[in-house]
Amino acid sequence: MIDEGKYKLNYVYAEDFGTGYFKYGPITLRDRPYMVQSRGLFLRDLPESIKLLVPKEVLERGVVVGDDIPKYLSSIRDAIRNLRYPLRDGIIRKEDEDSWRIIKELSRYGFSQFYQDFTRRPDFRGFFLVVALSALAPDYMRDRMIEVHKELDDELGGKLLQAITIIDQPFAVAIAEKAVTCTVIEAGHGNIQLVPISYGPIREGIVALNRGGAEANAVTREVLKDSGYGDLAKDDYVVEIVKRTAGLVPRNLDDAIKKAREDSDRFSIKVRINPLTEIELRDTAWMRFLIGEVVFNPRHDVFSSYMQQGRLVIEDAAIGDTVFYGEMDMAEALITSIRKVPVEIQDKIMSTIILSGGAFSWSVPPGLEDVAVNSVDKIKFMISEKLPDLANKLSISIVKDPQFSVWKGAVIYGYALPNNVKWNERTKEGWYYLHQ
Amino acid sequence: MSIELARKLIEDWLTQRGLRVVNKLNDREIILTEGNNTVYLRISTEEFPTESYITDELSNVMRNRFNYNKAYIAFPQSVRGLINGKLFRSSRVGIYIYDLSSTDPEKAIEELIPSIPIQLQQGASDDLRRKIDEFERIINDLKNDLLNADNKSLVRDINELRDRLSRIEHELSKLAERVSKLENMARSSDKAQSMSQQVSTIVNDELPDFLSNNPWVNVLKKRGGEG
Repeated sequence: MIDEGKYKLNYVYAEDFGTGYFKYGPITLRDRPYMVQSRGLFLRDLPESIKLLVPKEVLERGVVVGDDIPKYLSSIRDAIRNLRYPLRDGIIRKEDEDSWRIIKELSRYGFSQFYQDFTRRPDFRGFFLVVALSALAPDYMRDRMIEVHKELDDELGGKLLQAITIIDQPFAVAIAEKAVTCTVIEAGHGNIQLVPISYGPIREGIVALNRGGAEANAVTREVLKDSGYGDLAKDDYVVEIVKRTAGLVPRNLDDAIKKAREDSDRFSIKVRINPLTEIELRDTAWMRFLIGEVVFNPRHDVFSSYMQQGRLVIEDAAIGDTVFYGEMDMAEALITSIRKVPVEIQDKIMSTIILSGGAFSWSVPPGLEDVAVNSVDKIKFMISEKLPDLANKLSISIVKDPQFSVWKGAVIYGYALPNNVKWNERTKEGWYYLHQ
Repeated sequence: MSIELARKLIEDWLTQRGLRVVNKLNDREIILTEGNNTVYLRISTEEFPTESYITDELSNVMRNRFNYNKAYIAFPQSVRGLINGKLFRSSRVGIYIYDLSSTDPEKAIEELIPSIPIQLQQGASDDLRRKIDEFERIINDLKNDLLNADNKSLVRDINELRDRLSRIEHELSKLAERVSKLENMARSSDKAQSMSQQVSTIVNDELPDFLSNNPWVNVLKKRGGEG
């Protein structure tokens, strides 16, 4: 009998299905998983001449991921229709078969890089796989994830996986950050999840916001149009770079706009996309603050005016039993979430707040410290405006390793969750054994 | 499939100019001859190259630069504004620019920077030749001695020769092993992933840093009813 702890030190494998990137790999990678973009390319409209050059098994599967995408991209006639990002909102709809096919390929792509090496080892009896999904993922998504991995395991003669479990991404963040009671705010591309945690996620306390990095991109696009770069505003790559370089989070939006309008030289910025393309925001420099603000609070008049003109859509949405609030500001969402957990643990849960996810990575350029803030200070400031007493009790921090903390937490979960905790259909927790 | 198309286009263009393909190292690297010169060609298909990508490609070529008289990298049109010509000229690596959308195959390729030929390093093969010469001389001496030597000394000489031969064979097999190792390293060096994969699959008996001192390990272990 192989010692459980020793076995898992080598054979726990984690997959983090993030909105932008899929991070994957065994525990032996230590703290750096491999990653590829969470996207897939369907080989639907390939010219016959090109089809002859594509390996048969790839053609049969009809979808490629990772490094294979650039190989085929230039040959696909309708690249926009065939290049799909299945996890843009963190949730895949039941009937969205295309997205499920991409999920399977991403997973296969990951395993293919390790499987051969591991199967050569005499003590290898299959991986203990931990799949990290959005806390808002409905039950059918968890079940389907297990199905997809079962199929992959069958294709490899049942030797790939021993057991599977699923973990919420914010829970994994709390584990990686070593916080046993806390609230994790995960701000992704499509949505923001606030998840209170006390020795495990407290489901009734979860609050979901229907906005995230994508809305910051949408505002950046409007800023580019208003600055005379309507042509470049269509290019997602340009929008992403301008958002990352020029976007700012204001301490207070009205003050920031006032100061920026009075002294546009101080706030102007040039963004170099490549040696040929440079974007300058001078008269519209004040709009840099809108890019960051929309993630935290989209209730300002400027955004309302955008929404009335149909230039920006932020609205409530319901997926399954979960309501995703569109315009609820971050402070209100945090207070709502904390209020939903039992009173006796509210104190502990609000004492540690962990921010994670790409939509929280905002920096403060030197010289603008009087008006611009980072995400931690922004949330502190917002809460102190609403509830000054509460603000003093909060300890807010941002994860040190935002890209990989979910994967790391998933690996720790896989290592520590004992093998005798079997899958529970109701709670969707525990190990789902494939061959027993 | 743009690598296939690009390679075909470039090969045709070069063949029409008198170059001859002698070897394909992989789908991106081709060896050609042009008169007495051997020419190394690397084809890059990156659609959105950056300056650092171009430098990486150059350093990949430089790894084998002294094995060939000339060396070229073929880039797509999009790199045109990003090339540091001084760097390429001083490295004696030339550049072809190709345009897959061009309708005229003649104009689809342009030699942006010619490669300056270099004299190949002959050290290794000279050494080998010297050894072979020495070996030949020994055999000739042996032949000459055969008539006037007595049987005993002949046997002794043969034994000595056998020993030397086996030593040379041993050396040779060690060299061949090293060459194949080097070839494998070169092949996998541009696939950083597969390199680190080897590191990743080393058997592990220690707790990773992020696992040690993590309160969750004990919290989760208790779920199985353990202490």
